[in-house]
Amino acid sequence: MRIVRRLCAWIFGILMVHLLAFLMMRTTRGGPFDSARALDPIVQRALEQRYGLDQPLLVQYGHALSGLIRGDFGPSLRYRDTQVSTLLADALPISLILGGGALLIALLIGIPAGLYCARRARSFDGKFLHAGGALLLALPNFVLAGLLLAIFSFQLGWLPPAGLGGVRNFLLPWLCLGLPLSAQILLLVRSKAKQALCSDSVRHATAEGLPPRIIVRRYVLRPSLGPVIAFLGPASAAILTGSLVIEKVFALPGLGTFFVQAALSRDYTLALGVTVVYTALLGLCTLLADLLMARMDPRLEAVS
Amino acid sequence: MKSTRGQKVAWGFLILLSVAALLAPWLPIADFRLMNADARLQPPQWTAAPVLGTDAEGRDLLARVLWGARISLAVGFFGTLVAMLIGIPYGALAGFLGGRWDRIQMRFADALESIPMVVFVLFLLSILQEYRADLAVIGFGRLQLFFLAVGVLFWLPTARVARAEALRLRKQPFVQAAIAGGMKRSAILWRHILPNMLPALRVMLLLTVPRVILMEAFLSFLGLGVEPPAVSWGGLANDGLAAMNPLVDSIWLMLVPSIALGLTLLALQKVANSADD
Amino acid sequence: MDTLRLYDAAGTESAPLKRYPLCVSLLPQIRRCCALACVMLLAGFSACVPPRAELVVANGPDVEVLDPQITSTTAGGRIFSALFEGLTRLDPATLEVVPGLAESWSKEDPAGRVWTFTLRENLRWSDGSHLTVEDVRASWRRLALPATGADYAAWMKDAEVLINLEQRSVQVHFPTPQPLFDRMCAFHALAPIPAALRNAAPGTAPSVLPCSGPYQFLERRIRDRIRVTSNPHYWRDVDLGFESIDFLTLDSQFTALNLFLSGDVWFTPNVPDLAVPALLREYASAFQPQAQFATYFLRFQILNGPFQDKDLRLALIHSIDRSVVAKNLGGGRPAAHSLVPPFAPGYPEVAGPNFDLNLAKAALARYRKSHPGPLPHLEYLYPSSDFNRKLAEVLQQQWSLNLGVEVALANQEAKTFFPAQRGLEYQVSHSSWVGDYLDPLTFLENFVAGSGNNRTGYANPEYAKLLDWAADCGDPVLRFDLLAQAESLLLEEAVIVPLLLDVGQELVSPKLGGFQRNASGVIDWAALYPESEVR
Repeated sequence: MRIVRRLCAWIFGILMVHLLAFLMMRTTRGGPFDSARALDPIVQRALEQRYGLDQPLLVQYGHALSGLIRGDFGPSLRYRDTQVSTLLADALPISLILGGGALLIALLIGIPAGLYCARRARSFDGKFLHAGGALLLALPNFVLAGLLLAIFSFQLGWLPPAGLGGVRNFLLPWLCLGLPLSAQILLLVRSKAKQALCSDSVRHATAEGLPPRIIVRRYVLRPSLGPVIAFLGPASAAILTGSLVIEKVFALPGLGTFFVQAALSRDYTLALGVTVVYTALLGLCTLLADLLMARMDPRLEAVS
Repeated sequence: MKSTRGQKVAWGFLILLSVAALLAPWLPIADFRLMNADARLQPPQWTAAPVLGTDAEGRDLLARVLWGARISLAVGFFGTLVAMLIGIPYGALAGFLGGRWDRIQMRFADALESIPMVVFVLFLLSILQEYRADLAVIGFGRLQLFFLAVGVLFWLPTARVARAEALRLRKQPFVQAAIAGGMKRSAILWRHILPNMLPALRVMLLLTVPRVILMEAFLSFLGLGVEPPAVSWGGLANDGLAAMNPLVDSIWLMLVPSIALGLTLLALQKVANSADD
Repeated sequence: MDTLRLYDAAGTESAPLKRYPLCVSLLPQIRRCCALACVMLLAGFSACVPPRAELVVANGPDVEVLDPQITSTTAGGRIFSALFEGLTRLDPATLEVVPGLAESWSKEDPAGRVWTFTLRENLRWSDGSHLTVEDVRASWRRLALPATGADYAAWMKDAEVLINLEQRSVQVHFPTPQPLFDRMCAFHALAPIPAALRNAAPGTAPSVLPCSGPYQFLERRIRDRIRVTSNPHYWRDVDLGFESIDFLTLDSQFTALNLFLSGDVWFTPNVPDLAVPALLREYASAFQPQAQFATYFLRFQILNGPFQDKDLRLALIHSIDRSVVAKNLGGGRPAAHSLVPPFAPGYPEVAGPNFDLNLAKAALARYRKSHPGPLPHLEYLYPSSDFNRKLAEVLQQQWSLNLGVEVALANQEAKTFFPAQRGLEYQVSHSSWVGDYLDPLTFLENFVAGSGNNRTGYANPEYAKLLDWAADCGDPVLRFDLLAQAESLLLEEAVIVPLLLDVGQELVSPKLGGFQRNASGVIDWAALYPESEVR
């Protein structure tokens, strides 16, 4: 029942965003057919007629809505011989690979680093990692991109500077997106793990002579995962926003660059399509994160 | 509230930076707009001029970073101010009135929150551009429009915090007593709720300022930043990043504004954490 | 979510295990999820990674519509010149008109109102079907149709096209003189296009695109690349040096430069200005900038606003030192002293405004006398781009330093800028124009009253008359004289201010042989070959 309610809220959110984005796009100045060379006014009118831009706003919204339900967003107004769904289908895998890889890196680096930091909180190692994490969070991610590019691509020449290709082309983008998140996860895990390390059960287990590895795995790791899973929702939002920048820097044709370009070139259909997909993705990630959290800790259901 | 040495350093850095930024027009530094084709892309000399190097047009980077500080800090401050001015009344009302009002207001806020930010930003800037002429009459330039736009993007988290606080305070006995005593609701809001929200709001303010500054950097990256000749750290860092290539050495163009940005954000974080105690 | 409390309450080793049965079972699941994610990632690569083509070139911004009649960007032009051949071609070395799909042509009347072209025998599209005069007529008809939405519809508007299938001839009748129609035919907008493209439903692209050029279309990934392979039915009997070419979409010039330096691309059409000195030093064989048939200039809006007054315009115009502007901008772009770049052979030199501070200050004084009080708010509008911003800042500095006048800068994205310019909602703005064909008319015809490309409010019947006379007269020398007079008139009126000539900044790898630089950026793709080949 709860799942159904959340799904309904998700769908409602998408519709709401669709409506608002539609209104916003249409009230901003400049149409999709303006360019340096003046179009014959007849030609311009013919174009507007073909794309239905001359009809009343309500009718246009009706078309957009019915298209949304069918999953057909129509042809892009900028790439006039391609359907929006094709463009989205091409861009989505790239964004998913980018985001998924970044999230994996964030988890695989952040959680162990956080645990390590908590265990050695008083030593230099721990303090250094902690400061490093805080520093990573303070920098915008394009700065990190610049630093990694300078070192790994220009100085050492190990990795290509941009473009779409194999795993080598994705390594730097993954790091740039994933490292700031891993810093945040590090901080979350560290604070939780520090609390857990001071707890009675850990003291009890140490006294009983359990090896430290098992203590960490059983008594420290599991509670630390809680805030991390709670963070998965905002993390996916951060990945989706951060990918706007990273995709531009590394010339990866994902959803993020589509977003900005479509809005800037008044490509109404594409902008609507990307907005809907974005919102849907974000909502889905948050939903999954919430469900995962609920499974991990059933008390949450009662509290919320 | 004991301040550690780290927090003192952070406060000191922030104050020094703000003073330097304010006094930038009168400091003995180069003109940040002056292009000099003969002095292009000079690396930082640290002890001689140009102290932090020059950019691709020969403009002094130290001057540009200082003037950029003016804009970035101003955006942080005024943007947060706008966010607070919109968010606090909204949230306080929602929390205090409760019930249906609260639900309506929060649904609206949720809907707004799920709009992707770029579309929203473009819309805002476009709308404000439309009325540029009218606003110019009352002295509202493009920079002020930018403050407004950035501020509007951040009112939601502030509103949520204000709402949470108002909800909490509403249940307090002294507020209940005031309501029972027949005090006017507006008076309760003004005399009891708002003053007691201040500590939480202070934390919110200190947390929002770095986010606003980062947002400005992000917008500069997308090409929606402040207009030249005004410079901001985000714009400088973005230019520096875009210009990176293995042929011409120019890494200080990206590093210097990024370090400035990073240090300021770190200091703000430190200060915010101290207020959290 | 405070798990700590439960631990404290428990105090025994087994209790936490009992409280979190789900936690225990979740860890292996999480591990499995990670493994699955890794597998999915690796699988996703096979969908994304394209194999390399023999020649990879950076092509600048995306080509939005793969239709030579609808797209008119330089990036599009480069691809179309590989895919579609026109009735005529331009020789890359001399920029002369040479036969393309047509083996011969003639002007039936001296003013160029009637042209006849004869197509070659046995022409075919890349899928084997015949290329006939029917295709030519249908393509030109489609160009003129308003529903197509072509940028160059005006070229074929009201033109009558007659064909003769046995003689393979096409005859065009124009209502107004078109003395340069043969040169215009080399432009991709007039190239014949296949029926599949002509009849494609709006919003869709044909699944197979037959081509007539040295290469045929294979695959297109938006914002990534367009891939073309050799066309076995190309009419010229040439051995193509490359079997396949990848045209990469790269919005940033720096990215293109970086890919060139790492050897991933062998050609990029432009370079960032700040890299120019280093390129001239270290890559002199690859980088040889050449002035182009394109000008950067300023437009003044003269219908309303402060620039109605010619004195104010003159004050600003005479205080621009073009040599300083060129130097500060870098990139090797020469100053322009006339609107039309000095390329059309035989075209007399037109003297534009020069840098003269005395004239400027005198003009400003005159303006101040007739308009007492503080100067009005002056604003320079430009479309957002790094280069335009730099140019704007340099101009602002010139006006501030040389004249003491502060001009504010305003920028808008292209999609907002052009409507604003068209609606005359600016005072002075950035402008640029690339000549569509090598003749002054392509620049001058924009400033006739009523032209959609005018955008200044300039309406001078004398100017229009000069252009009409030039169009009607058959003698090329007299024609150039009349056009030069028109240009002088335009520049004298101080509505247009030439600033800089554009420069061709192609970077050509030494591994790419057969590349010929010219003033219009014309590339003969069939003549390229890898330098390692023994020829």
